[in-house]
Amino acid sequence: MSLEVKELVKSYGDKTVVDHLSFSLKEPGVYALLGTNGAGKTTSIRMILGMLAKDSGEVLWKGKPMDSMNMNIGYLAEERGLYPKYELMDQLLYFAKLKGVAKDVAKERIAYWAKRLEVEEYLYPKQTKGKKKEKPKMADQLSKGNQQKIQLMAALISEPEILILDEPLSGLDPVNTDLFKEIIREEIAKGKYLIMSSHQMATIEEFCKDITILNRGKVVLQGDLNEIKKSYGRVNLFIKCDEEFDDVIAKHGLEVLNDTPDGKQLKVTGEEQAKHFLKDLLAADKTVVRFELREPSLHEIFVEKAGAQHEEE
Amino acid sequence: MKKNDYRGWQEVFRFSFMQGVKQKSFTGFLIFMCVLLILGPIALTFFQSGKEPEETKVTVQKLYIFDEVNLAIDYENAFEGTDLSDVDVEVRSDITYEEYKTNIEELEDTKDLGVQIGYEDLGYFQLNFVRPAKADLSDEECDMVIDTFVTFFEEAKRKAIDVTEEQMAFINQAVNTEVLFTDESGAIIEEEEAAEGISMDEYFILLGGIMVCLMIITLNGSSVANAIVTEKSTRVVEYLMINVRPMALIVGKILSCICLTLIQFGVMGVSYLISTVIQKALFSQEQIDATMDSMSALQAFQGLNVVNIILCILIILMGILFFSILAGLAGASVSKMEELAEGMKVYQMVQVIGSYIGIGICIMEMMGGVNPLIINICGLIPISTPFIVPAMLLTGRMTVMVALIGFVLLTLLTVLLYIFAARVYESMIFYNGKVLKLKDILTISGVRSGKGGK
Repeated sequence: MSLEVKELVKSYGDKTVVDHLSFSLKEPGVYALLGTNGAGKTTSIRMILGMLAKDSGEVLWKGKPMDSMNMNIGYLAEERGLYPKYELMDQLLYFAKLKGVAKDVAKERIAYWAKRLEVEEYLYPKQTKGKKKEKPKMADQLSKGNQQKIQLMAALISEPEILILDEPLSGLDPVNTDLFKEIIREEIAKGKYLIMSSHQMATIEEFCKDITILNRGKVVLQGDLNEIKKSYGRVNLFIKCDEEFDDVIAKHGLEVLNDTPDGKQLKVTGEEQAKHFLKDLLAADKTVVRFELREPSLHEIFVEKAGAQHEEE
Repeated sequence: MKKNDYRGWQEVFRFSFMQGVKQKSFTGFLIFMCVLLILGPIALTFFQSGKEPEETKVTVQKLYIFDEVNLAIDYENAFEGTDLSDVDVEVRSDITYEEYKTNIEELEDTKDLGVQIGYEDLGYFQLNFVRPAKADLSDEECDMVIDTFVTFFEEAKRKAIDVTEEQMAFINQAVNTEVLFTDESGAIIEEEEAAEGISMDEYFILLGGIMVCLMIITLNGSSVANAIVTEKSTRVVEYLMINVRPMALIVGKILSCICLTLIQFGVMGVSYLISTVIQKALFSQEQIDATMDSMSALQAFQGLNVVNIILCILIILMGILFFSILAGLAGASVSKMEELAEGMKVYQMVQVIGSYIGIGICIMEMMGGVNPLIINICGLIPISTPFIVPAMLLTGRMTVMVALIGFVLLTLLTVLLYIFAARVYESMIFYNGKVLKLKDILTISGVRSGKGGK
């Protein structure tokens, strides 16, 4: 067991913002820390990173208390952080130096990542013949997406053992989203330990095996994502026919969750009811063009768990 | 998390320092001051030396002597060997000085002067000169005749009574007097030291000193607060905190600010030295001395010596440290740059009180003098020490001992503030909400009991 978070607690006054959070990453991969806004994800991450003092609990790395200052950890924060008026190269070298990376090594890595993330023009000012050399770029001259790329470079520059990504894909266009996903996959392939926090459930489903859903500091759901889904059963039926089939739906008394041009999403009790429904559709001479029975998505599970808690409160 | 973990402060220091050096405002100000300090004194000496004293044309023809003391002095040779050798001297005994004075005032075409040499009952010689008011004689030439004659008279007088120059110098030493006061029983009571006011020149020197200290401390404080709010508002702090703890962060920043200030002063000092070297190469020592003499305000620095200068630098540095820690706390109490002004209120209030005490002392000194005891007490109040003590020490209005005690008290308060900052800074640095008030910060520190907030 490599990364183990045990019973983390943090309170401000009489408000408990993280209440006995425990989870572990037994092997390299991505762990998802999910929750609504203000659920305690960032506070938990800060405690794991040792930035914030914890009231109780412990974070262990390979069985020993984790000291972020003596470890190689990469962090991409939810709220991007760059000095707006300092040169980008200076900032990256500074972050690298703080992580103990030698200047020449840092420069090599910056060059690699700059090419990879297509931000060379911002880090290496051009000099066109007969023209004055361009001034190095400051962070506030970059778009949000490009700033995010620089942030990712800062997180990866030390080739970290543990990588913590807080909302890594927010605000990115589809092209850059794919680029980031590719890099995350590469890091997983390199055997890194990743903790990812995101509100994009599809992304979590794409990368994460284990999840924890927090709500108001408390763990409301935790475990292997596939197991969690299986426990819900295959209750989502997606169906599309060339003809109207509302009469068949009414006959079975099914709840329509969604009605889109791509078909209807129905709530069924299980595979048996779905089979009967399909049989009746065919008997009624309907042309079935889509029939998909599957478990609830993480999005639905999240809304159910976190949303329910919201409503209760 | 160890709050007193200082690992990484060197990196913070290096980065903050280098970014500070790269700032246009820093280099611009430094270049301006260097140019001013190198070229200013040279230009001043150049213009001073360019003012060659105009040769005074003396048209005075005769000086009449009305000797009423009868010393054995040969007045006829009064101007012998001087530039005024063309001026005749005649001792008159045919008329009195008063008669001569009455006549000469009415004359327009005469170029003669008269002098009455008398001895007053109070025990001193009195030389009264008279010149025709309507005659075409300039003040400069009359002054030249008078000065030359007075010099001659002093020398002749000494020779007449047969004393050497050294004896005369000894005799002419100032006589100090002390008046003792007794009470009804006859016992001597100590009179409070008379408070003397200061000249306008000294006032500007003192005020200038306080303003310089205020400027340095304000610039440092605001740059520390700005740096912290920038890191908070841009969330850079999130990245830094993985490898650097809050106190290491603030220590690195404050030290870089102090270093930048020291560099500014160091470069300014070197600029002035360069200017001095250039002046020596370009002008004679007399010309340089004449320029220095023309700056009468510099005479106010009666306490200017190496020990006092070192002590002043230490006090200013400690002041910078104290106010920078305070500014760091103020910066950490807000989350957005636009809230900084509100967060800085307490800091500014402390700074204003400290500096206003100093300015108040200056004004009172100019208006008639302040009891030295009050100056000392004000200098010992830590928040006003960095503003008052350097100016008072260098102008000789405060003793080294009092300045040292002031420095020690300021150091103690700085250490206490630092311990307090170490307790609250970690919680404040991640604080993201409305501006924290003083009571909130005290609650975080545990000094006050209450509810905390995220």
